[in-house]
Amino acid sequence: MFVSAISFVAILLFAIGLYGVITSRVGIKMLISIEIMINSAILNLIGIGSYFYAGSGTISPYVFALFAIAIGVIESAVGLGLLIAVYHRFGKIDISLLREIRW
Amino acid sequence: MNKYLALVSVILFFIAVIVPVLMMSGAFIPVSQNITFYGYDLFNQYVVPFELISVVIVGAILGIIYVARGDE
Repeated sequence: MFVSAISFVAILLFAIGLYGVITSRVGIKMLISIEIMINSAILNLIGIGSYFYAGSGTISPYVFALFAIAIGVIESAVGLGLLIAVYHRFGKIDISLLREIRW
Repeated sequence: MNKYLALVSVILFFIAVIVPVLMMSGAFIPVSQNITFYGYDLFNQYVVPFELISVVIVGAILGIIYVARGDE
């Protein structure tokens, strides 16, 4: 079924992003992987929403997708700002440098 | 960091998520997609979150500037 194909691609993208987050030690690569995961969630939302809700006039999944894109952009910018702060302090970007702020 | 272990765990996650999705049953009817509904909903029903997003973006920009500029 076609909706399963959309979900398949979305979950595959999510798995790729998850692998990138787990294995990367460089901050930029981790940010890119998180962006891949956010985009897979948006793709899943669009794919499922075009089957259930679109055109019914009650609720629109595309509005939620736009909000998700906006929040994803904000998250990426905040992460980049934090990495710039880390670079200013340590001179390089390595996630293992942030060992002190974990709980 | 063991990459093979991460790969195995990600593959297990993929299988655990894709199996319930592939087992979904029911009638999935593709409906016509119209960009008019999108704009109509965005500026009528969801206009308050649309404006709140701008406030969130301004706060994020200020926070990014404060964090990234440091103590110069």
